[in-house]
Amino acid sequence: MLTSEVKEALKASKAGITLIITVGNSLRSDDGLGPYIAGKFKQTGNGYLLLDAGDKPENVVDKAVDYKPAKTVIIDAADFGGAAGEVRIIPEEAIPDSTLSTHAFPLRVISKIIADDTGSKVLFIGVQSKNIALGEKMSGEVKVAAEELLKCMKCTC
Amino acid sequence: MTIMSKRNVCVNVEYLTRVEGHGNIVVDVKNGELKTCQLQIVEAPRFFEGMLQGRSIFEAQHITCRICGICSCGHTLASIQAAEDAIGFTPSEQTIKLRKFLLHMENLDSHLLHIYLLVAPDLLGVKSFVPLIDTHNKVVRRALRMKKASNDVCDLLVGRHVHPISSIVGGFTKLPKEKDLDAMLNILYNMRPDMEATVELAATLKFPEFERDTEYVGLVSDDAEYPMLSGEVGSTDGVRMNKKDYKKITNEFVVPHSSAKHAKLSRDSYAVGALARFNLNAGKLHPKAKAVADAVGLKPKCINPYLNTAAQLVECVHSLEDSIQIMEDLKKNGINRDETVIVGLNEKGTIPVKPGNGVGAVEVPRGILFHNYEVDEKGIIQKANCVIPTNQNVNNIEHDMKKLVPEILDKSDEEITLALEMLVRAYDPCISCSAHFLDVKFVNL
Repeated sequence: MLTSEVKEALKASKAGITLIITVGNSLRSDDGLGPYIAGKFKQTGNGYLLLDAGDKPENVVDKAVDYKPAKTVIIDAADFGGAAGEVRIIPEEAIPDSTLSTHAFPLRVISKIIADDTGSKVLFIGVQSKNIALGEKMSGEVKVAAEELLKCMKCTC
Repeated sequence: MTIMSKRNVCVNVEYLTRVEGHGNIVVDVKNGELKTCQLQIVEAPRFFEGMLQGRSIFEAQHITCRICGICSCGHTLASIQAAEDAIGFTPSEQTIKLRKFLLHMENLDSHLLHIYLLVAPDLLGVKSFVPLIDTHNKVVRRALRMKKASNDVCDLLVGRHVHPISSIVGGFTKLPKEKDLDAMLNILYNMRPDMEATVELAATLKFPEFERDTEYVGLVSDDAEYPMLSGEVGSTDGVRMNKKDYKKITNEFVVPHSSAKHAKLSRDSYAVGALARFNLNAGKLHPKAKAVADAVGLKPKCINPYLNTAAQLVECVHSLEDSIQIMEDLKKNGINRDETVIVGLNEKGTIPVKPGNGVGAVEVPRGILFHNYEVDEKGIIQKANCVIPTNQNVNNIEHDMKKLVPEILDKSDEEITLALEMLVRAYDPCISCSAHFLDVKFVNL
């Protein structure tokens, strides 16, 4: 069950495009959350656009800026000590400097550039992972969370 | 040198950031005397060699590229080279050109990120790359542009930003079209001003002063080319051997405190990587790269390991200019599309296979990488061995630390810790190729 805070974060902006950026590696079990959502997301013309950054977030910055979003929501698997599948808004300052790899751009840098260049509000949604070992299968808990997030974007509840 | 005598040092850093992977530094100083100085690699082996046994050489590169997300192209190329060497296949000139180009893109990508994300924060006095977005906004954006540019070229050439798809034994499954060549050239031309700005920035950075004479190992050749993909293996101590003798070069051995093997050649340790390549082959660099070496004061034989970063910068310029030259040549002469190779697992015997033992030796960002495969008459790998650059450097890092620590005992705990962290980072270790996280601990007895 998504919290009202998460639902509010995902709500389509009335001021313009709501850009969803999914992040993750589909070969790392629950870290495949982002690509999973991207694969099932359908552009419905209800104000959302989605970019799947995979494990190279720096490669979508130009496109993200071109979209001039009013709101940007970055969705990624996370480890914040919650229950597997729990979904939380992650404060920017809680995001580590090196999230994906030391050789990928930090998400905080990516979000700052998007915010500076577009004036977009940038939010981070983290889903507590259960297992990020090598593997193509997500845990049931994280998959349920992914479906809830998708449902929320679809109906803008 | 005056050692600050009887001092005990107690520094305990939970883990060192800005290196790829995990490991431990343990330094034990008692009454000013260095008792222990170790770079501990404590991760379990990943058994990639075991995974390769029983697999076809025509799929090996897709497996081995997953050893590392940073040097996936290097592993792909070393894998292909070992396989082709084993079955006696000689790639075409066009294939070799494209492979060199691919390797240049990976070196550019990896070096730039090491310079900007991992080293620059130390030299600019901040804890990580993130604060630079406020203080050095243009620098951050430039790094982002350059990183994306090299990623995009990889995507155009081999079908993916990382973990190449189209580069296989025999050549390429998909060759770039005219519009792809134009797109790649355009990206590279546009990168030139950013590279110039990167050089200007690097020239203002001050690297720590520390020297330790060691043996530098890398590919060498008799031709005029800066060797990255061919040649023999040589050292600054005068060693020169065929790559097939790689075991006599690496002389791998195990130590109790590390699950990563150590290596040595003529001395107690040796170094591989950008500085080794520069020390061995500086005269063969592109003229623009030579000019940059002069500008940053880098001269062979340079024995300051911190200047590996400066050597990476020089190689970035070389890679960019040589890549442009390769692309311009291909555009001028045209791509021979008949060389497109669709081979799958070679079920139709498109490429003749015979049993053999082959070695691939490729200069990847962190140094010389060896792959060795023994294959049967069907091209199935019977035995495999991979020797990773970081493993070859670990022993040398330890020897550097042993010389460095007594020289800086007059510094504060924080300064000593930073100097050690920076030393390890200078090698740009990819511990995750064999291991993970680096904790620094000073132990007082």
